[in-house]
Amino acid sequence: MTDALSILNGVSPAWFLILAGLLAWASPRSELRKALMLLGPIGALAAWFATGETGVYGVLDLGPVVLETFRLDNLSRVWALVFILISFINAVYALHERNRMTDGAALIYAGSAVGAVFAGDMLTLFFFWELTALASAPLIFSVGTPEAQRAGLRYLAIQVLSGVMLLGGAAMLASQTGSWAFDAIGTGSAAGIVLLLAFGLKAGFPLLHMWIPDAYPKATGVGSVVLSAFTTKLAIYALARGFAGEEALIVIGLVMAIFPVFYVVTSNDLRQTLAYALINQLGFMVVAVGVGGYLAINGAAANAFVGVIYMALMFMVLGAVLLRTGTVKATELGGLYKSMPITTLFAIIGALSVMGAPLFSGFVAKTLILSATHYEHHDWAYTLLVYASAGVMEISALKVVWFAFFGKDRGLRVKEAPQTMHLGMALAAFLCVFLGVNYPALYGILPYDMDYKPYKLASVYGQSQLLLGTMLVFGLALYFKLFPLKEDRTILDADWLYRRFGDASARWGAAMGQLLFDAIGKVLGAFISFVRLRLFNLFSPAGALSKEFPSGMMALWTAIMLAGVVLVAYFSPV
Amino acid sequence: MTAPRDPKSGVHPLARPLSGLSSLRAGLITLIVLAVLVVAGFALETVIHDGGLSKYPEVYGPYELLPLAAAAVAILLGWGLVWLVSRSGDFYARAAGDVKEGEDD
Repeated sequence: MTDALSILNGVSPAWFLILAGLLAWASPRSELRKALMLLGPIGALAAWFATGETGVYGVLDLGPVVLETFRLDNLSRVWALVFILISFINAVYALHERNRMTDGAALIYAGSAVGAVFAGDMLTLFFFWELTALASAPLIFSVGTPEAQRAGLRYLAIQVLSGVMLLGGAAMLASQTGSWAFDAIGTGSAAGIVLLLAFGLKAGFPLLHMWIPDAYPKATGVGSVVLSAFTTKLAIYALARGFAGEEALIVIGLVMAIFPVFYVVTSNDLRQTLAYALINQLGFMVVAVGVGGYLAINGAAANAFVGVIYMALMFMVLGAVLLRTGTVKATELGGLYKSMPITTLFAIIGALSVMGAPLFSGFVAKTLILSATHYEHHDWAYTLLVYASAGVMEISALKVVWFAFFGKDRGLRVKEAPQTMHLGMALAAFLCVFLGVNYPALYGILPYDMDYKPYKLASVYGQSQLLLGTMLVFGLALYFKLFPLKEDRTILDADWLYRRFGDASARWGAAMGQLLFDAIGKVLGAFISFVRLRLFNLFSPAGALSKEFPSGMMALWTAIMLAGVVLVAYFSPV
Repeated sequence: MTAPRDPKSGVHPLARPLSGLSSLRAGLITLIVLAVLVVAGFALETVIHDGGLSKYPEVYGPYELLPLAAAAVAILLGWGLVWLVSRSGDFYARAAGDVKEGEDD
């Protein structure tokens, strides 16, 4: 087996996924596409295992620039592994779907994310960074509604902008350092700031986050699973690689962890609720990157790893709900556990992982970040993260499970989700429990060796209290009808700035420009008419210059002109 | 697309034993159990905090009380957010012309 795998040594797993995606796009037969969707990740996983030694592979010498397309180290291999795993789980989950566009796009998207993670230089990173944008947009466009088309365009514009900023920042950095290598960057230069913004745009930094709750709820059911997995986690990887230990990231991460709470509570679209919960989790990871140090970076990596899986599970659950009921609005759902009990079970497992319940994967990952903030003496950050944990993570998970599956019975009696969807959810749910119970398996693949025991009496006890307390508050709010979710409302977020304010400003600007243009046209037209009329009056057959002048008048003019010539001649230098 | 609405039929066989979960009484019992567990947890920690249950020395005590309050504040502040920045559910769809004025969702 090892010998068989050795031929894959040094081959980037990304190519398996991208090639399978291209073939899937070319294939008109859905059976073949589904086989490719399964075989692509399996091939990628084999390549991941085959290249055991860390190092740089796939070097392309282009003369002045050397591209490193496959840099395998302890940081990149964690992200790559979870990206490959989730692409396989998604392939299983999507077996029921017959959509040529999304089948291929999901694979190429996964492959480009893996390629970006393995990029050893900025140009390779840029190539795969942009490919993630181009490959993921069809997951939104393929819904086909005008709303999805517009959301897809907004999503694509922001993703491409991030790529352009990345290229610009990389070029600035290369001009300063003479190197295109993708390593620690820091914020000490303008190039570093531009690159931080490029990564932050994809990571959902505050005020740059709006594309996440805008686009994710508008994708297909399968599309939102894939979208939740790759782009933002890739950005976290880039931050961990380039900006580990930047203390500004602690503040940014804390804002990301805390502000979504209000949107989690009030959003009626449950996929949007999850999108805000995702921003909260990204905030935890950004804080960890900002804290730096081996424990914090391990925490960021562990959270990225388990977060990809449990958020995918939650989006899978809502994808199944969307498939069967046609909606994921909290005000239109309720009581689905009666007709979808198996899906409900997976939702509960996913929710317990999101909440960080002991014995689930979220617990063993989140506790690493909390401990890191504490050990590095960021106690205020620790305290705020605990608040964010209670306020956002737990409420979001409780809300999705409650409003979709329990809550007020709306009389929706639907079929259970397809078995292939169940299988995909079961794989993700298994990993949620397996990694929570068998945490050394997770800790063993993290970038740095560590001796850390998550299951200490104090931490289990504290987390249990936190969970129970939040559940109690959530239950009381529901019981006394204090939960602010009574009807379908749109809660404005920063996307209002470009969807309404920006749009209105552009329209107003265009209208004002048109008015100005019209006014200038009128003034110019009047001036030209005036001049034309004067010239006509002067030169037309009836004009002033066409008149017959009396000889006396002509003599006078001749004398004046002669006098002018004499004067000019007199004063001219010899 | 909306699903058929018939509360009396279509209950999955696996869900039948749990059909009482949606009753108000079940909810109340759950709340009481949760309240008892929370109070017992705090009491236990207060009594034996020197015996290993206390968390980090700098954040001594039942620090979960504060997040508990934070969760409550977050939920209640949601009303303020709704009042301040909520619009109709089809706010953007109307702006884009997908829904005409006077037309229902």
